[in-house]
Amino acid sequence: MSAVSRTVSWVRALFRRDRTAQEVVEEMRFHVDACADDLIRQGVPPAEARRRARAEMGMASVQGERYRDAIGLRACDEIWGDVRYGLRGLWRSPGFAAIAIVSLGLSIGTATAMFSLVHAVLLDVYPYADHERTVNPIVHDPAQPDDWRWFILNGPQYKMYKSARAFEDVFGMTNLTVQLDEEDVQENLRATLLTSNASHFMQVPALLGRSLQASDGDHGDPSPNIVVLGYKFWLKHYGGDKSVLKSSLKIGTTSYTIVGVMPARYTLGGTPDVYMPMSELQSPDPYYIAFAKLKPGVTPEQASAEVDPMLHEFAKQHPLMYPQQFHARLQLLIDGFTDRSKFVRSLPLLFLTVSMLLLIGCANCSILLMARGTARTHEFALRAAIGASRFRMVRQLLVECLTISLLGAGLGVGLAYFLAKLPLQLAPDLFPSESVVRVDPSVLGFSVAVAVVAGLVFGLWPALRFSRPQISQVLQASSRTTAAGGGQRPLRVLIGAQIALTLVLLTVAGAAITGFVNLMRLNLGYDPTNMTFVNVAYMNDTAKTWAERGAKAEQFRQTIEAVPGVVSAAVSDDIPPSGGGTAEFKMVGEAPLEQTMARQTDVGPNYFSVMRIPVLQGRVWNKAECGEGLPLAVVNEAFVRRYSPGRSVLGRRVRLARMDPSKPPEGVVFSPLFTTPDVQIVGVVGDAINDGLDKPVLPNIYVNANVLHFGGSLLLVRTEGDPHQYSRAIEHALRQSGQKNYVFISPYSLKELVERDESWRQQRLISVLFGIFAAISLILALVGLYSVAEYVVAQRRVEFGIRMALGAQRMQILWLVLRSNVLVILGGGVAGLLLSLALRREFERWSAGSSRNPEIVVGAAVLMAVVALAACLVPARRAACVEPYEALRSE
Amino acid sequence: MGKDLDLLHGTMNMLILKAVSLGSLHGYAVLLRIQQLSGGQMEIQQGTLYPALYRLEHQGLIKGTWGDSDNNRRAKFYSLTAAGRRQLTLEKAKWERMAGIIGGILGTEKAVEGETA
Repeated sequence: MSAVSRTVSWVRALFRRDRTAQEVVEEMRFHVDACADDLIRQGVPPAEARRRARAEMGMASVQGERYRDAIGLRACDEIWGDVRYGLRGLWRSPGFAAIAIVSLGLSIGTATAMFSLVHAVLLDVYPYADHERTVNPIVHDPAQPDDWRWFILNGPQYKMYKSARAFEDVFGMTNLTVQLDEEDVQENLRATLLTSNASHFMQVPALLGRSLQASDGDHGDPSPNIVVLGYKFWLKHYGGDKSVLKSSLKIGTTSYTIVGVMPARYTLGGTPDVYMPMSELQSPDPYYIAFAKLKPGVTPEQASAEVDPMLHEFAKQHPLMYPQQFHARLQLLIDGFTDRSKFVRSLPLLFLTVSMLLLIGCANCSILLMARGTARTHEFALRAAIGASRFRMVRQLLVECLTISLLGAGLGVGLAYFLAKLPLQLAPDLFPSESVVRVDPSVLGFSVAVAVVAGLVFGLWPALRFSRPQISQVLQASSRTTAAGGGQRPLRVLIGAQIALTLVLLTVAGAAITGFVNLMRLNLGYDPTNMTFVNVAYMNDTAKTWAERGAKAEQFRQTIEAVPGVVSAAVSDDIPPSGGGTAEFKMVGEAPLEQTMARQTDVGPNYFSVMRIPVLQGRVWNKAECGEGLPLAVVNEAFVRRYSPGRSVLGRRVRLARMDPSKPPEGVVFSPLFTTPDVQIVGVVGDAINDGLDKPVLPNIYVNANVLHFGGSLLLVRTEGDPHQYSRAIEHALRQSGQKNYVFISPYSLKELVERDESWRQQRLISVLFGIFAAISLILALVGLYSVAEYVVAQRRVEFGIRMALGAQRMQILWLVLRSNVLVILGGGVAGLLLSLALRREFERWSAGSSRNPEIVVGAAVLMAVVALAACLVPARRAACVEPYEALRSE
Repeated sequence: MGKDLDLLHGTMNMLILKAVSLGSLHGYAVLLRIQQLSGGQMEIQQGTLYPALYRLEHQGLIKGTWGDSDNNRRAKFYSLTAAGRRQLTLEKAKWERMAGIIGGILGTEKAVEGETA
C-alpha cells in the first residue's frame, strides 16, 4: 500500500499517457497470442483460435480504460470529458456563451472597480498612521454654517494645545514660500515645515533616503540644513533621479542637503515641493497648524470640548484670527474632505447602483443557464434513459457552469483593473491627493464568488429538477412541444426583477445626465470661447501716480491687441465663472433696510463687448470717460431685481465701502475725479455667471477700472483661435514693452476654466459613471430578455407549426409570443417605478445637482418598455414566420 | 460449465498474490496458474484479472517488469513485492479466520436443523 507506487503510476498515466496505453495494449496482445497458441495446441483451427482469444479479450481501447479505472483515474477522465463536452457545447452556441460570459464579466468588472473606488475614497484614503483619529484644527462660527475656519497657534499656545489630555500626540506644520536660487533656475518653492515629531506621528517611510527625524530638532540645535523632497517636485525637478540624495539645493542664500524623497501618496501640507524641519527658516514668531491624534476611544466632540476654553483664551490674545463667536470643532481628516465634496455623498448611491448591476449581470447569466437547462430537458431524459446516473448529469452541468463562471470571472478581473482607474482619470481633483485606487483582491474575490455562486445555483437548478424526470413522460411528450410549458415561473421572476432594477438605474442615470446637460446648456451670460487672461504686474516704483499707472494699463492693453491673432483685450479684475470679491455698498439717498452686498468688478470700457455681455439699458462709459477716471458704473440685472425692483437705477449713485478716497489702501491710487466715495450708475447689463456654475448670479456692480490702480493689470483677451497658441507671442510682446514686468499668462482658457469648475467636473463624472452603468444594465436586460424569448420560440416551433397548420393567423402567433413577455415587462416595470419612487428621496439626497423631473421617470420607463418590446419582437416575428410544413417535418 | 465458482469479493487479490508468490508470471500465466492450483475448479475471466493486476501494481503489492517469455516475446512479468508478501500473509490469516467462523455458523445451522427434525 505504498503511496510512492501510487504516485508513480498516476504520474506515468497522466503525463506519459501514450506510453502507458501502449504498454497495456502490448500486454493484451501478448495475452491474446498466448491464449490462441494454447487453443491451437488443444486442436482448435488457428483462425478460430485467434477469433475466440480476441473475442474473450474485447477491444484494446476498453482495456486502456480499465487500466485507468483500476488505478483510480476514472473520475479525472470523466471530468475532463465533461469539460470538453461543456466547451464543445459552448462553442456550438457561441451567442449563448458570449452573452453569459460578457454579462458576468461586465458586472464583476464594474462592481469590483466601484467597490475599489469607494474603498479608496472612504476607507483607505490616507497613508498616515491612525489617520482615522487624527483631527484638523477647526473652529466653527454657529452664525455662519459654512464658515469652518482653521486656527493657528504660536509657540506657547502650541505647547498648551499639545498638553491637552484628549490628545495622544500633536505635531505642528507651517507652510512657507521660499526662493529656490540655483544657477539655472529661480523659482518659488512651497515648503512645509514640520516639527520633529511629525515623522513619528505619521509613520510614513521615505521613498528614498529618510524622512525628517527627531534629531533634526526644532529647538536649540543649530540647523543641520537638510531638506526632504516631495514626490512631485522630485519628479519634475530631478526627473525621478535616484542619485539625488546627498546633492544640495540652494534655497535663499543657504545650501541644503537632500536627505530623502517622500512617496507619492505623502502629500501632507497640500503637496508642497519640499519638507524642512521647523527650525529652518523660522521667522522670529513662528506659528503652527497643529494636527492632533486623539487617544483611542476619545471622540472629536470630547476633544473639542476640552480645548474649547483654551481656544477662547487664545482668541483673546489674537482676536483677528478667530471669528467673534465660535466653538472648537476638531474635525477628522477625512471629514475635512468629504464636507467639501458632494461627490463623496453620492458614492453610496453609486455603490448601490453597482450592486444592482452585479445582480443584473448574475441574473442574466442565470436566466440563460436556466433557459438552456429547460431547453435540454429532452437531452437529460434521454441520457437518464440510457443509464446516466443523476450524479453524472449534475456533475457535468456543474462543470459547464463553472466553465462559464470562470471565463466570465476572468474577463471581469481584467475589466476591473481598467475601470478602477477611470474615475481618477476623469476627475483627479475630486479625490484627496493621497488616495490611490487599487483593485482590492478581497473585493475582487467577493464579486467573483457572488458571480460563480449565482452561476452554479442557477445552472444546477434545472439539473436538479430534470435529472430525475419522469423519463417516459418527457420522452413520449416529444419534448419540444411541451417543454416551454413548465418551469418558467422562476425565469419570469428573474427577468421581471432585472427589468425593475434596470429601470431604477435608468432613472438615476437620467437624473444625473439631465443635470449635466442642464449645466452644459447653462447660459453663462458671456462667451468664453477663444478667450484667455493675462496678468501683468510691475514694480510699484516704476509707475507711482494715477496718470502713470493708467497709461501703463492702457499700454499693456494695446500691446496685447497689437499681437497678431488677438482680436481684443479688456481690463478687468476678475475672472469668470467664479472669481471676484463681494463687498458692502449703500444706495445713496436711501435708508438701508439690510446689509446690501454685491460683487464688485473693476472693468475697462470695452469689457462688455469683449466678453459679449449685452448692454440692456443706458450705456457704458466711453473711452474718454475712462481715460479721465470718471466714477461711473453699470450694474447687472440681478442687481436691479434685488435692490431696485420696479425702479430705474440709471443715474442713481452707490457708495462703495471698499473705496474711500480720503484713505486709500496701501499701494492704491485713486483718480483725481474720485473725490466722494460714490459712483454713478449709467447702465444695466445682462447677467453673467459670477459665483460658480451651480449658484445663481449675484448682484454685480461694474466700476470704471481707471478709477483706481494697483500695481498691475488683469486683461481678458479674445483671440482668433485656440488662445493657447498665442500665449508665447503675448508674453514676448509684454516683456518687450517694459523691463521688470512680471507677466503671467493663464494656462487655462476661459472655456477650460468653466470645465474645471468643481460642480461641472462632479456632475460630469457622476453622469458619465451612472450613464455607463445604466447603459450596461440596459444592454444586459435587453440581452437577457431577448435570449429567453429566442429560446422559448425555438422550443415551441413545432407547436406554432401545428397551430398555423390548424389555421392560426400570423398575428395570433405573434401575440402568443408577446403576451407572456408583455406581462413580465409590465410587472417588472411597475415594480421598478415603485422602487424608483420609494428611493427618490434618497437619490435626491445623494446625487448632487440631479434633476427631479417626473419626466425622467416616465422617459426611463418608456425607454425600458420600447427596448424590452423590441427584444421580444424579433423572436416573436420569427415565430410568426414559421412555415408549418417545415416545422412539422423537422420533428 | 459448472466449474466457475463465484469469487468472493476480495479473494481475487489474494489468489493473484498467491499465484505470483511462487515466481514471477505474466498475465496469462497467472490465469493458468490459478486454474492449475484450483485443480481446474476455478476459471478466471481475463476481464476481471487484468483490472485486479493493475490495481495491485498501482498499490505496490506486485511489481511488473518487461521481459522475454518462453517463446521469446516481450511480456510483462509480475512478481510479489515485500509489501505484497506481507499483504498475502495478512489476507491468508483473515481468510482462515473467516472460513472458520463461517464454517462454524454453517455447522451450527446443521445442528439446529437436526434438532428440529
